[in-house]
Amino acid sequence: MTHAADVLVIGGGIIGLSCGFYLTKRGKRVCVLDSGGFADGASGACDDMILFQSKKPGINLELTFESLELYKSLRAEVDDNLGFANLGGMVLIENQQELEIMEEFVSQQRSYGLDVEVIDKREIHKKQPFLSDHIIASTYSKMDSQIDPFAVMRAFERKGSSYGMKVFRRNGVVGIERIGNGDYLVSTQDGTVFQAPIVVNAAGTWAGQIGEMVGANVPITPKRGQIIITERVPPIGETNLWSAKYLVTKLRNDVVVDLNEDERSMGLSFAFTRSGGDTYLVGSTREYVGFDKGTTIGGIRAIINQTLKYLPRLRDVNFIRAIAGLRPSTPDGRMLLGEHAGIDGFFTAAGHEGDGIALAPITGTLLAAMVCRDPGDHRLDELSPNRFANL
Amino acid sequence: MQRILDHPILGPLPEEEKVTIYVDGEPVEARKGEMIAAALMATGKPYFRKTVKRHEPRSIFCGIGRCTDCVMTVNGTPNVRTCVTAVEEGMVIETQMGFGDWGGKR
Repeated sequence: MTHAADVLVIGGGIIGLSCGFYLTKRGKRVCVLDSGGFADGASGACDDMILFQSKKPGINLELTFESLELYKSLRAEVDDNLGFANLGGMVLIENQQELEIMEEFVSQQRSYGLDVEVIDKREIHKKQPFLSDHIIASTYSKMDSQIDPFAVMRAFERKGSSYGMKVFRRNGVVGIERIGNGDYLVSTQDGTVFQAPIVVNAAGTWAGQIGEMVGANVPITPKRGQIIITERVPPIGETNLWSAKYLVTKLRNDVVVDLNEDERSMGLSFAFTRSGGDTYLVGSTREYVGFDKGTTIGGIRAIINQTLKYLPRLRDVNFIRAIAGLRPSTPDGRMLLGEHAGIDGFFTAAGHEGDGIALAPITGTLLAAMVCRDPGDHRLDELSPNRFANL
Repeated sequence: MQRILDHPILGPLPEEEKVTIYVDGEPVEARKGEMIAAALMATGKPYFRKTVKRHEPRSIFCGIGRCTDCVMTVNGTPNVRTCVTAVEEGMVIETQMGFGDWGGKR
């Protein structure tokens, strides 16, 4: 059996569904194809942040602003809050060296229009009375927000389907072939074939394998992030929290942060976010272990020990679940978004690593504009997948 | 007082050392080693917490540490299962309203 469409989107995570949704709104007949069930991949095993503070000034920060606005209109369009919350965020600084690096980073971000500042111990205590005394300073941005990824994916899928988008699940793509008129034939596990002039590779961590089917180089490596979820507890502070460690290592690879060997090999850093369900999501690790998305005792223990270092009062709190997701990471920390040179009609929208939730609506919107051949946006040149074409 | 002092099969309650715990600010005498829930039932306390959404009273349900219905704020930590947590001298126990709070202590 063959399904004909205008666009085939491969991957039904938050990015694929966003692409499908915005393409459908632009009048395209879209089929979204996914090998797994709803929220089976990284989109269902992550935190829910629209985080500004982690973004380097530049395209990622710029797109996050635009994404936040798009989330506003999406919530209005589907008449649902989608678990949106605006608690603000703090990045915890533990020593002088981190302070110097973060001060510089904050001033760069401010010059880019981000409302963020460095606050002292007294201010910290007001917002986070239970934080450990060893924190010497912190950043604070009231812009950091969050939104429930499951609610967003359901909204894209339901609203998109009401506009005519079709989603096919539990039926992986096994091959892509191009026929005489330039159309692509995408064959799937159960034998169904899909035909369209445009294919969008939104397969996240697995986008490299889809790229291979048409000879496109999509250098995405799975980075495993383990997260634990606490029982329902009262708020322990006003904001969500991160440690400066991860940002510092990202910004300055010459700086050695204070971690033991195990923690370093796991890429441990602190992320502490309150969910709409009154639990906390606490992470996380960043491990290169291939496509294994299991949780480990070592990872869970490291996250717990780290949490108690920052918030000793959580000692008697139970965690109820541990999850792990494979973040699609790219060599330069930026996503791939655009058409592959020499493979007309084949687009990739993948490689968001930890920014998939934050950047989903803007990714889908920009992708739809490219597919519809809107006038080019030169800011996006640096996201083109062709930067990796000759590697 | 809901303590069984003379049980038809187990016989009379043996003597035990006493500790003082503070329940919603009031001192309460408890038997050393007993669970918080046992001490509170002995005082006739009608409920241990109120639920998050409907503010309904809750007390002992399973009594073996599984159901979490009897949780209270103990020494400033919310969600402590009182049926499996032993009393200690000077323990501060509060009726938990909804999620409770962190008691302002570090």
